[in-house]
Amino acid sequence: MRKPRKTGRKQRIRALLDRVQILASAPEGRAPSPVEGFTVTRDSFVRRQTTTSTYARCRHYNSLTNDSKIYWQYNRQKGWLRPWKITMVADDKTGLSRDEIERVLRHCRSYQLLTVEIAIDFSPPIGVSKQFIRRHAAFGKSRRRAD
Amino acid sequence: MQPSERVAVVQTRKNNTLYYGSRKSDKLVRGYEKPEVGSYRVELEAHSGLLRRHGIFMLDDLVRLPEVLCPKHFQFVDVDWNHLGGYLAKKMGSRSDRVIAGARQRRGSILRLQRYLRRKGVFNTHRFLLPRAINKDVVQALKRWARGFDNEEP
Repeated sequence: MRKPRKTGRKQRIRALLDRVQILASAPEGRAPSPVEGFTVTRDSFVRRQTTTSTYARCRHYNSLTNDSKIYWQYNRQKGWLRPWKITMVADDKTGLSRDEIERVLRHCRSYQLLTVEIAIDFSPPIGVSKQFIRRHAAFGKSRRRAD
Repeated sequence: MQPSERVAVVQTRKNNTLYYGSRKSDKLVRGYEKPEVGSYRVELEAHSGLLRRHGIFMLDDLVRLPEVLCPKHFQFVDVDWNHLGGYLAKKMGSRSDRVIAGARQRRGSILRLQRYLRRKGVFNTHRFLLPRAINKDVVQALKRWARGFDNEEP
């Protein structure tokens, strides 16, 4: 007889995929497609943010099952930009699943990973805090930013 | 929540957030309290340069992120004071006590301490750092995530 697995112990350090940003190619002028399990909440014009205009429109999707969001930028304003820039933001508690990402990627002809963000949650008993990070964390050659 | 209250909450969170790296460098790290999940969160944002350099192009390659990030881009360390003391005594003689005292004053921030040591002529400061035991748990957590991500049915 198999022993029952211990499930009572909570994970004290948890890693999850928090955000993925991709550049994707698509047939010229094509608007974003509906994504399974997500609903479109907004589709709006985006004003130029800097001196260079990039994407004119952004479609927002919200997940029907959790708090995940997708921001799908399209209608590029410069020829050297890829047709779509897609940002997927995870639900705080569950993170992004592979399935959620693949539901978006199946609409893209090809893609390039732009940003991948991993979140590591330290529960209070471990004692990780702002002071602890300053005192003990080394992030390669990256220096602390003043602001 | 009123808009003004929301602005105040965002402002407070921004003030309490630690940032390492920048949007234009290979990575950006944020550390902050996350009351929504009741824990302290460290976010490691890997940019395209870093991903490309380690051959992470597709979704399937993401499972290699744990080995890319730890320990090179994220680890917890302690200062090996005995080793540092011995080195300084050999290098500086009687002046070492003053440097050690200065270093101990700055131990609240590892980067500040390293900067101080470099100013005093100790350049390979990484030689005096010892990895902490918690690193194993971090790597395990990352590997657990990678396994889950890899085994998930599309």
